[in-house]
Amino acid sequence: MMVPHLRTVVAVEVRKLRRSLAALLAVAAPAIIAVFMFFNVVKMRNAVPWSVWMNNMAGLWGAFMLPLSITALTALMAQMEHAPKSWDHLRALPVPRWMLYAAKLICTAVLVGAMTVILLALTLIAIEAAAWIKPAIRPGGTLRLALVATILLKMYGAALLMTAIQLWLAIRFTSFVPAISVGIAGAFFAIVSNAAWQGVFLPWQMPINMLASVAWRGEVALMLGMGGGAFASVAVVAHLSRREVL
Amino acid sequence: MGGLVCTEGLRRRFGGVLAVDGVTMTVPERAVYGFVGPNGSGKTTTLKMLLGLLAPCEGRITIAGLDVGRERLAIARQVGALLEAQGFYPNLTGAQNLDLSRRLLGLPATEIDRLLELVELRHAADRRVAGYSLGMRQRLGIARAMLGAPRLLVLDEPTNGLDPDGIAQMRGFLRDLPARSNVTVLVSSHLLGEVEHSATHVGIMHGGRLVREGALQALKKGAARRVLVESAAAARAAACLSSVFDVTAGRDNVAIHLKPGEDLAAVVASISTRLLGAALPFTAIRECGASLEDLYNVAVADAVREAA
Repeated sequence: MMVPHLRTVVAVEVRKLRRSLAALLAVAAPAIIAVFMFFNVVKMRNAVPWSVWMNNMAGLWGAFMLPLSITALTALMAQMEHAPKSWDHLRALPVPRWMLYAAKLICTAVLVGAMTVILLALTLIAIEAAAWIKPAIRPGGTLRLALVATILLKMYGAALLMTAIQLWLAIRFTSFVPAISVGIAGAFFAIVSNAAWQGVFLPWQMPINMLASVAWRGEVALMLGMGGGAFASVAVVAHLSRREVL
Repeated sequence: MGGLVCTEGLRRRFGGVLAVDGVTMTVPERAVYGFVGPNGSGKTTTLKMLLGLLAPCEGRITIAGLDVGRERLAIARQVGALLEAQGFYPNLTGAQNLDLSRRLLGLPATEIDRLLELVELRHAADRRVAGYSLGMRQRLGIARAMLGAPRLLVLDEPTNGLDPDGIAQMRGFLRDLPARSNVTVLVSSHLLGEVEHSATHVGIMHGGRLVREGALQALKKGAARRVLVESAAAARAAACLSSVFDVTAGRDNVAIHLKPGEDLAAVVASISTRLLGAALPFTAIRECGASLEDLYNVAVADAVREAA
């Protein structure tokens, strides 16, 4: 008997994104940071090194926008099925149920990755645009693009645990309220516990730890974010596919 | 005809509530099986168990000889379903919605055009589903359920929310489907009139139990003769008539069970005399057994009596 390949199920998941709010958010969230960076650069009187701007961008992304975007994105990805009540239809198809949830998780993770790429591209465009309007503030020093990309990539890896948790909440509960509440609370506590060493264990704080001045924080957060993310992903898929949807 | 769908002693409990209680049903191949009963009688729960969406607490389901519990994927390839919530993505067009299921089923792209033609939605194929009327969505749902030429089509309340034209269209569509597409249709509804017009077989659910099942014509022929008195004071009317007749009181009617050879005119005259004499109101006295509604009322009354 023919069972679809996981690749097909993921491709179907990607096709659902056409004209969707989730796709819009994937562009809008990094664009907000880029717009903010543009106005910050353009208001300067003197040139500031690239490293400062890149650090600002990564800080804003890791501390606020990434946790909040993942919260909103996972809620929208789940509501895509909850709102039209399409779980019953999907689960009645000759597709192994774990594939439906795994495809949703993979698609969400790919979107978060795409947001990271869009963030870097739009921010560079925004800073260049500001420098073109006002040549005197063109950033000085060297743009170490590989280093910036590595930091953003690590942030993405560290956010995987948070992504799995948020997607589980968003799919598990038909209402978006529990997932959104946990996401906002997580982002809030991630900021207020920034100085505490225990904060590194909070999934919503893991991405910003990639900018920590103390090396161990970054290493622990990356290890927990990626390892925990992989483990949580398997657990989430296993739990959701065994569950009855009433 | 053999049974394409067979269940044995299906039971499903939600917490303390027994939603489906020992349902044993047989849906013959190429039948239009009307699964009727009031809201909350266990129809949707039974259909969800047939589709493998809910696991029965007890009992067994086979479709085309395969066990639903063990061979869900093999069965799912042979079953198309339109559930009460159609589950369409409003941001996508009708054709794009069908395309998602087509890809998951591994079917050629030509299937979409064929099915849109079948449900007369070709003209709206490139319109977003958000702009579809309810009737169009139901038709699109049927097209999606027919993807891959399933042997069994499960439709949960397909006429819900349709206007009279849409209902008439759906009725004709369902009636012709087995001959046209060689498919067995299991359709649940609480609209008895609609099922009567399209079904060849019926199963009547009440309180989680299947209280009657069989070929519609055979059930009608075999129905015992009864007289139904419609009265707002059903309980008092039943008490008044019980000294002379074998009666069952419903919420707003009383069923009088006729003895073999009993003269209908004499019984009706006797009933009206007694009720008028006792100043009990009634709006109609009629023989029943001719319509699905009558069959349903009798089946439910019998079930209530047996339970008491």
